[in-house]
Amino acid sequence: MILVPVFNNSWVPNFLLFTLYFLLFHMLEFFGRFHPILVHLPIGFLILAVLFQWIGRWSGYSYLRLSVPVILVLGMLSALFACVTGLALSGTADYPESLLGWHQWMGIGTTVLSLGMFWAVQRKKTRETNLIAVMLLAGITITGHMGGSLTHGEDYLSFGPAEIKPTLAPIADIQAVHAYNDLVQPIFEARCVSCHGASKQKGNLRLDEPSFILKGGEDGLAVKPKDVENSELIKRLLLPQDAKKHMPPISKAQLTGAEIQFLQWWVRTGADFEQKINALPQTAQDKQILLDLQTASQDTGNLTKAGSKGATGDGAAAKGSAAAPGNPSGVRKVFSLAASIPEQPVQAAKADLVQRLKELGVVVLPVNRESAYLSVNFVTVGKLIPDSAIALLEGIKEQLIWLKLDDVQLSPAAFSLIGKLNRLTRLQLSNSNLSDESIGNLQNLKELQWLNLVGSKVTTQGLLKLGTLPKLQQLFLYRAAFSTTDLATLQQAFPAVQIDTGNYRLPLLPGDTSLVK
Amino acid sequence: MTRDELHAKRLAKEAETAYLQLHTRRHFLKESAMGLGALAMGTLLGGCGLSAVDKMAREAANSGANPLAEFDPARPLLPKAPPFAARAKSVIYLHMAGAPSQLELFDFKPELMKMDGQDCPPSLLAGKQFAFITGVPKMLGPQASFQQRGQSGAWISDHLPHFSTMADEVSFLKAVTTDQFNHAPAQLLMHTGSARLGRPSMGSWVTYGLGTENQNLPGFVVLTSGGSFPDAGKSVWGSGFLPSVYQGVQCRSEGDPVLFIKDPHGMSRDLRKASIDAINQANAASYEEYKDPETLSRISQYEMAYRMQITAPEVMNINDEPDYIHEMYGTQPGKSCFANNALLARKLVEKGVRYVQLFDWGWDAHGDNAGNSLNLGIINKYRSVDKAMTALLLDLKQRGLLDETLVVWGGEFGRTPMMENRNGVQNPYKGRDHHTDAFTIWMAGGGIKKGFSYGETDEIGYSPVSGKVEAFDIQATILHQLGFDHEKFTFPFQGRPFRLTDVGGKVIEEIIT
Repeated sequence: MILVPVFNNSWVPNFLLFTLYFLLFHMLEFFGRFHPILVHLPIGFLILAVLFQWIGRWSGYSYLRLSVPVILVLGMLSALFACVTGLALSGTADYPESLLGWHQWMGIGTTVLSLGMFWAVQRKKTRETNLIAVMLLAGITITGHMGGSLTHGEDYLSFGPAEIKPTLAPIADIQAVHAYNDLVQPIFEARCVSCHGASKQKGNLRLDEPSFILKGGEDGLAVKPKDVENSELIKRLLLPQDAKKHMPPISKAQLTGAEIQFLQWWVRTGADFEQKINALPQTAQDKQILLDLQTASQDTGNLTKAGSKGATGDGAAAKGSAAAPGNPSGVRKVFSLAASIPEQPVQAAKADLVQRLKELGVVVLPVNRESAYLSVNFVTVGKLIPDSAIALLEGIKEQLIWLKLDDVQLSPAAFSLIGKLNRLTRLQLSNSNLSDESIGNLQNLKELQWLNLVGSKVTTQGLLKLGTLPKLQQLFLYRAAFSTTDLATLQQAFPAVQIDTGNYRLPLLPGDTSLVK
Repeated sequence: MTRDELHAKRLAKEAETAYLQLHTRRHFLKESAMGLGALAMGTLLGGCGLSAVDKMAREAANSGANPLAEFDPARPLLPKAPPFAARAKSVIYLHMAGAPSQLELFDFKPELMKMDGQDCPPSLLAGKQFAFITGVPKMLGPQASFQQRGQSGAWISDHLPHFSTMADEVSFLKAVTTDQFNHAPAQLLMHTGSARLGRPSMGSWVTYGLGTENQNLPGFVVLTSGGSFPDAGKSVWGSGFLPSVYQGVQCRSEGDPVLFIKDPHGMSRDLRKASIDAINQANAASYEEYKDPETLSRISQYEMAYRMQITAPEVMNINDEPDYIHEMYGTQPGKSCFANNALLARKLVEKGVRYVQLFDWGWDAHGDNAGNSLNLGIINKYRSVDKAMTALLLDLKQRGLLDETLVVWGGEFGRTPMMENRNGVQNPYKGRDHHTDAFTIWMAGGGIKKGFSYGETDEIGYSPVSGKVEAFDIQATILHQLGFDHEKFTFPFQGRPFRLTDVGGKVIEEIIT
């Protein structure tokens, strides 16, 4: 009675009142956030109570029953807290209504059931206790599962690894398909609708039907036909992936660059829901974008890496800026060391042989710590390699895949021993005395992928003896006795092999020897 | 009872109580509830709270493995297999100390041309810190003409006429960033993973993890050119907390590669051997007494120095190379220059050296004098490396070495799209300030894609738009190519495992095959 006039006449209490409301509301929201943690308490307590109740049936464990009422009270109290925080949380986030409703009432029901079980236990009503216990377990399971579905999505609990589903089925001719039904909708379906669809409408946006798409969400128009700049959807797609507002969220599968470019084109040409692609206006560049999309749809391998490069080059390319047209795998083939290790495992080499080689100064190493395959390098042995050292290699030939003999002199016997090391995938005999006669020994090395004969005495005649190496990929002939005029003959003999004859020269340009002053 | 007696009596009682308290269970339990709780907590949380060293010790005890077990102080550089399948066996890192301008070499920005001479928009300056720029600087258009090169269509400026032919051999990283805008910390970050002193450099980590195939040569060689050391000094190839034997061995590019590598006049090889043996015996006796592993390192260093006397002069001597090789690199025998070092790098890698680090000083294009102006002195820098780095790639390629050697080129940061105005006054020559947000690095060989470009900057080359990477990512990628998982490659120090990439780093999968 005394306070009322004060309240009405001064702004200070009003301010206080406002602060109080504000605090209360935000405190409520804050406490709500503890719901996902708190819920685990009643789950644990109540299951424990039921377990103790049942285990207590065995006479040896009957003492467990003494603690059941206490655990039940704890369970009830924590369930009550979980309910309160849950209600606080429900007002603040946009969960699907129906699932949320069920979860809420099941939760409250479970709390009531725990009270029921407490009553039954106290009154020692065995039948009722067991009945309620079963209902309680079921209630906890169902409520918990619903809660999980709310936070992790309804398809979270399923078998198998989370796959990145392809957005588009293979398209034979992109010009002949329906722009919306065959392209736009499948992309939205695969990447957007799980959060912006019938079951969830984050940001009040739905992308599952044309009318919803045009309606937009709480941040404005998702798609504004013919106006890419003001289409929130395109903007969000083009934001850097780590930006807060980037869509899809960074943890989800991303759209590919081609898909984003396609959607931009679709919006730019008026976001049409009726026509086929060929009925819509296209520049040469747009045609290329569409073709890229078609190629991507046919190549299933692209899907796993979808979107990591996002919108690279689009806006920029349109403005004729400096972005280089990137080929995702580079323009030339890369021969990787790692690819020359056979996949099938091999048993370890004899330790005593490896040790003897090491004592001779030979570098013998597994190609990596997960593999028993060996690499051998004679780099510190000297120029004259004794036959006995090469002979030791035969004992480890099952494991020996990389052999390096640079700047060495070998006997004919040693070359014939090397010819028996038929697991070799990489062989270097550079700056050696390998000749047209001794090269014949190498034709049994059927696994050889990489052969380095830099600075050897081999001519074209000798090299032609290698014609039977089925897996050879690279051949290095810089400074070999071989003459470059025979390259055509050689390339014909080894059509699949990349031959590097080296001898590169760089022109002398005026700038190389002068200074600017 | 006098006052004193009363006082004494009180004191005696107090003492007795205190004495008894220390002996009663009740008191113990009451007073130490907190402490006992903490003890119990410690045991309970043992699994997660275990210190790294304890954990390592425990793992070592369980598995018989010791983090240092593979470190043999007597043969510290023995080669070791990489943990995983490697794509490169060696690394040649070409560091342009002082930071070259991405805007004049690789990052073509026609929009910046249009803004040339205009005041810098305030949005670019808000909240930013520069080394020298103060107030509102003017924008500076690219001081170069650009063309797309090769099949890959990479933009490379006319300042690099030779390297332009290599567009289809390399992968560009166009959106590299750093958080250090001064040379020394930025160089340290790039090479040691920390802007502060004291961490091991990348070459040290690599030789610690892999050793080196040629025991007659150092595993980690450093060659400098450009008239000065990098600003970060020798710490940038230091071994930090790793055993000191893994620090980079700096070879001179003029005169003898290593000082005192020749036996002194009048000393025979046998006498040299005898004196080294004597020193080693004394050291061995010292080791017996103190068990300091660094003593064993010292013994092995003496032995390696002795072996190096035979091998190093031959490998380090570029004069035996044919003339056309000298012409290709553009060497200046007898002088100290980048081209000589590039040729030397090839020779070292050919002989099995694991990590060759080149520093070329003088790229700091501020424009406060003619020597560091983009239109004068810096053009000479381009010329001094263009031919040599191109020749290095071609020479490695023709010898079949490029597939197993990873070549990295870059600086410690980039340069601003603005013209530098030191202390608010326009610099007399065209120059750019240090820029941390975007610069270009290229990599080649060693399983890196050929003719590829990753990352993109905005219209004026100021900030990354996509494909942003940082020093840790580059380090993670280099380690990955050598067969390491950068997150598992650690060394215990000061109670926790340390790694080159600290707590960052992501392998740049986009550029590797």
